[in-house]
Amino acid sequence: MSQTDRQLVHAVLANAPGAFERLVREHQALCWHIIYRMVRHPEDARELCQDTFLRVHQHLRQYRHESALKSWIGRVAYTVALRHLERKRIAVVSPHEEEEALDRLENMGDGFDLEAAQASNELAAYLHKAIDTLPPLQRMLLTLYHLDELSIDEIAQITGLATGTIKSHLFRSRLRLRQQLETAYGELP
Amino acid sequence: MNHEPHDDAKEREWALQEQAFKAERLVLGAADNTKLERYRTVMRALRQPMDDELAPDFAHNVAASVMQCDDMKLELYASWALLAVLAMMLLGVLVRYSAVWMRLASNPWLVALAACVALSGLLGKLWPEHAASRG
Repeated sequence: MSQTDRQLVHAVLANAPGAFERLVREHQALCWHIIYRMVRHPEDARELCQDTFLRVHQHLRQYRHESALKSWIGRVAYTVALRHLERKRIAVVSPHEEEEALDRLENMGDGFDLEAAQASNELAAYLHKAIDTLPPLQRMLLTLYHLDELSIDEIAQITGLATGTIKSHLFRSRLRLRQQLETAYGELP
Repeated sequence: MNHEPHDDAKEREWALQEQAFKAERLVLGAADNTKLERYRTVMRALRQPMDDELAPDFAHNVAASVMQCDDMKLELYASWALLAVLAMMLLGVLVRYSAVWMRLASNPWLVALAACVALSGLLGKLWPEHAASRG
């Protein structure tokens, strides 16, 4: 845990003016990425982000400085999003993902003109749609790894998943996106 | 993919994915590897900012809500304190007029009346729908 984190936590606990607002500003992007990627509904995600920071404020005294503040807040956001999905009875992972991934790996062809594909805006839009069709957990893991550039160990601290499980999810979802990219190119004019 | 080291095809695919990720992070030029370039297209899409973001005043609003919650907590504590004072006063009244209560309790008709009122109230709580249909 960094010295800056420690100072910020002490300032919030001492009710220093503006300290909590600074804490929220520093970590709101990560919180948004976790929750919005899992929940997808913008209004729900905004409410859950607010709920996350209210919980952070409420339980900050329980933070033991054992992990980075970012990971601790990320963990709270992840738990909040997970509970929301459970309440809505939305599955966070696809049950037959492993078999599907192996099939995709075996059936993948090489006849793909990437230059032509890159010229198309339609393809980029299609890829974003493909990302949206991934199960909530995989969408979130991809975002943390690629957009937030968190290490697999940091993601493990946030989600509580084993590093091997995270790697497996990343592998399968990237493979699936690659396959969908090729399918899209085949369907485009 | 170190959790399944026996699967060479998966290991190679994972290495390729990671190579594409690093190439995109370092903004390297295009490689002469079709498969790698496919993955780079995927990685590029994954690194793009999201279509929706939190409002710029989000942090300010959350901090304001927390302050409001703190004020409400203070009100709640004050309410509990008032309730405790009320309970103490009630107990004081009970003790102060204990002789009167004892006199009332020695009257069997009054005890029977109190028992009836208590029993009907209890039955109403236990079977509210039955009590409502009767009413």
